[in-house]
Amino acid sequence: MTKAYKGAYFAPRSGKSIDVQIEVNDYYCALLSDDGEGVTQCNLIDCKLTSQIGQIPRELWLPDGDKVVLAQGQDLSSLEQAIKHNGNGTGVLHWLESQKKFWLLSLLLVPILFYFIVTFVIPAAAKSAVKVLPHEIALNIDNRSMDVMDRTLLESSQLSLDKQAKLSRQFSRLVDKLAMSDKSLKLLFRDAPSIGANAFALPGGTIVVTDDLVELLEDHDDAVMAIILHEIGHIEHQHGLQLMTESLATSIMLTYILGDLDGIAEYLSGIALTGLQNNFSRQLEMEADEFALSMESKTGISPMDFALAMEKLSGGENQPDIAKYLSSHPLAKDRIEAAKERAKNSDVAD
Amino acid sequence: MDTEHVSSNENDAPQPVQGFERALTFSGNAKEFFGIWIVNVLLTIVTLGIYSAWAKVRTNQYFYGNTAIENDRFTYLATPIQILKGRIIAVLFFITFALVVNFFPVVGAFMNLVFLLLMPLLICMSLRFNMRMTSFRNVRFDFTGRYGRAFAVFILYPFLSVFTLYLAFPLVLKKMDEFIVDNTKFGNQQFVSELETPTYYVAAIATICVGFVGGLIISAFNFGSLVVMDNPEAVNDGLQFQLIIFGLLMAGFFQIIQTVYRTMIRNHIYNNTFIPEKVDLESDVKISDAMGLVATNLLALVFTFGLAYAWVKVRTAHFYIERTKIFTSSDIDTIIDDIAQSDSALAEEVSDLFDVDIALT
Repeated sequence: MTKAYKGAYFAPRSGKSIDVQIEVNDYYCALLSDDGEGVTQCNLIDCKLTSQIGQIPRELWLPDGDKVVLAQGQDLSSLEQAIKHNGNGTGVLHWLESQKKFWLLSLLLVPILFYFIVTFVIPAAAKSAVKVLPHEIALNIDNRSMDVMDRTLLESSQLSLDKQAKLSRQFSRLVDKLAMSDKSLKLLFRDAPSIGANAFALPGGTIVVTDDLVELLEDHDDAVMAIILHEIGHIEHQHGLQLMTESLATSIMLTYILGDLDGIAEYLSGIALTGLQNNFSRQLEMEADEFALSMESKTGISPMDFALAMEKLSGGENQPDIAKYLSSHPLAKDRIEAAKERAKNSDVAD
Repeated sequence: MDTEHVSSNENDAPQPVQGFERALTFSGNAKEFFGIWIVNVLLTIVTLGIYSAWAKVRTNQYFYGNTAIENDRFTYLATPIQILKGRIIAVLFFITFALVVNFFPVVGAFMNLVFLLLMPLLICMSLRFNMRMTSFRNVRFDFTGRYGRAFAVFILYPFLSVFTLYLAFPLVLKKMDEFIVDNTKFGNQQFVSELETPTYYVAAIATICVGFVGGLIISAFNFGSLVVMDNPEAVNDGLQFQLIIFGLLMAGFFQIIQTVYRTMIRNHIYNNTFIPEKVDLESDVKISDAMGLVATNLLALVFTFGLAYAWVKVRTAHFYIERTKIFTSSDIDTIIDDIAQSDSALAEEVSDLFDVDIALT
């Protein structure tokens, strides 16, 4: 059965056009000019029909680089049928794009799916990606990072050697009790006026405690150990690498979802990225807290030690609730509450 | 109705074209594009980014296909698979780059240098890809810029201008624009530009002046919030929130200020670019109109949480196309396409992901 369509034919690489009639059979098409002369013919299998987008006229691309801009208002369904092998399943896209109900559905689904991906898919994917990174790389990061930080942020510790030795002994007992043989944990003391009372862990197993922290928790060595347990939690769960992987994945995803942006839109997507990174970071902090709180039976360091450390660290200051969503750490008061709650429960269990 | 175009060029140089004004129109509408855009966003999320290649192609096809000179529309030729291949390689490259910079800072510094040296190549290849994927009446555009010149224009000159305390920077910007325009072809016809250095200096000075005045106004506003921040009780509460708002104001502010430069230079480039004896362009965008457009776009985006994106894109296209004129000779359809086949989207995708900005103005 032959079907005929109208259009404007452009020869290969040419800006000249002539009006043609396209006669389509099952397998090939023949192009005739207005006065009935044959212009060209070819197998449909070598042709491509552009997909319907908005109201733009569709084009039939012929194998030699010639093309026909099809006149509008024709029913192209049998032509579509004849060429459907060539990536023309896109008719369904045009249908979706013009359904108002589908727009509403999308408006609803986009935030839900986005939330789902950010909360579950990316963290889970990051966790398994991090597992395949060899430990040597993590060790390498530790050495490099310490090199850089010792030259910039950190100075050698002013703590007495006695104090350092005492804490180091407690640390190695703690590590023995935990019996995590696969990690080479190492405790370092540094003076760091610019970052104050703090502790941090590097992926390869290095834990750094600042002088300010030790002085703040003077006479409460168990509280120092509670903080160190939290840092071991970060190392055990490979949080450093996980956070980096999550940030990377999120920034790539945002780039492709949001498309081309400039100025303020780019700034807003930057804010969104920071917000998401802080969200990931809070999840990890909670996981590390959970690790520190659950080790009492093994280590003798109780949730109350952790609560004490957090109380001293937060200095009793009260953060507003909005900070919950902006900060990279959970609110101190929430962390203290969770620790005390845990202590109460374990008392009952005893 | 065709009107005889008399070029304003009155010296001895040959007239760019003795031709007729052709109706340049954009027929896209916000509602229609909203449907395309929202489906793009949804499917991109559902497919974890894979669909973004189709999204890009459909968006470009929509904007090209709705731009017409009289009855002939532009066509975007790239296929989603081309874009997808480019994107996959670009993402792998980006991840490797990020990992190396994080884990091996010394190698990372070296890679930064390599990337700097590669940038002119990326710019050339990505411009070439974009041009070759643009077709009008079955004749493609092309870009013929080479690495050596691109290196001079995009790396060497900006570096040297540091030693002039950036006083030579407007000249460097002119060199960049010349490089792009003078290496662009439509089929076998070369575009020619006659850009003038003083205009670049006027545009730069005007932008700095507007920025300075605007900056004074903004800091007058911000003085109020600094007083609030001096209150220690309020510091914790609102500090981060206030910083975000301040950043937002600054980003919007810079975008509006940039518009001064962009508008002046766009007009200048269009009004001084032509294909000898075939095509001439004109642009008549008023700076105040363009600033109004950018400002209202920003407000719309912020207050609809981005949902106004489709409307913003469509009205921006309308705005610029309404203010652009094209004149062509009557033998315009004799132009032929002499470009050999085969192109990859790789460079274009790499420069996209690394945010290498190469648009004119």
